Amino acid sequence: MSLQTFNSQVLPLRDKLYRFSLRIVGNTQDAEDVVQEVMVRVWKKKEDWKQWSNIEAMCMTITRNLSIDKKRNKHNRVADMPDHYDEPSGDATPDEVTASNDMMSQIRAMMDELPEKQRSIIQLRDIEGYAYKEIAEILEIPLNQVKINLHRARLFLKEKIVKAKSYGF
Amino acid sequence: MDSNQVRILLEKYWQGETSVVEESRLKAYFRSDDVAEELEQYRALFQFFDAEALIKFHPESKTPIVKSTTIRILSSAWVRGAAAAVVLALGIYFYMIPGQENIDMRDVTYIDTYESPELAYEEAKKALFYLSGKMNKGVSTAANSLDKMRTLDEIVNAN
Repeated sequence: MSLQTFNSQVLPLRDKLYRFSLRIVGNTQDAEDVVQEVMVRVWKKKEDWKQWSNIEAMCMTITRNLSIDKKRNKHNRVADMPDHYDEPSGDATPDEVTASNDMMSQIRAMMDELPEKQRSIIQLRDIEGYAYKEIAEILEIPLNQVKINLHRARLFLKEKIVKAKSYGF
Repeated sequence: MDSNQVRILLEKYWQGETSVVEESRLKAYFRSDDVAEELEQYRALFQFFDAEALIKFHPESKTPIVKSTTIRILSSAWVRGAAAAVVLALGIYFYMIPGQENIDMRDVTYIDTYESPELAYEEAKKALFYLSGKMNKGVSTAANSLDKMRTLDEIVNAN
């Protein structure tokens, strides 16, 4: 029974959990580690599932907490080699870089400037399409905090875009 | 949707007052080819949201947990310190112990490094204890990783 629940409710969340973690930790390897760790933890807690009102929100909450820990631990470590430093990068060659990609990477950089909470809210709302109530549950904050932070984050992005445009973006 | 409607909706969006449905309409508008010129600057933002939603989880490495554990072990300052100590100890052993410089390799089997067998035995025991201590630490780390892998296997094979 628990395996069925896991397969139908937890496993399909992999991509969402990965994207959420990636938004916080900022690199694919750590995000992959986090997702696997979440899967293991949720599986080990299968006896508690009945008490979880929303298994998806719980998985997202665990993902966020582990990602924040991961990010914090990484900051505390002495300079690491960058991930995949010894592999050829999959980046496009200069002549392949389109203007559109450039704008997308600028948007990504703007997102990275947001505080973690605001970044997570944008991720959960604008990318994953969660309702405010679900976001409040995942982040364990009051509903009005979700709205305030979403408003601030969007205004920040808007101002950045307008500014970038005026500098020839 | 005409651009006036979009402008109103976009204003609601910046204020954080749009519904999920209204946000979908905005995304659809910015996906289309006829975006008003003054709104064009916001296209990249909504394209970014669309593109990010397509990212999938497909770890390239088969054993990411073991791999990352290995990296963590090798990068810890403690292990680097221990490795440096071993190198130093070996250096001292080979270069500082008197009488070692002129060893005739033909006689090597007849030369002892310690004066008494008891001392040699004690030193060898110490070295072996040190080695086994390190091995136990390594084995427990590997066992931890294996435990995680087994749980993952259990999940994957059950599919």
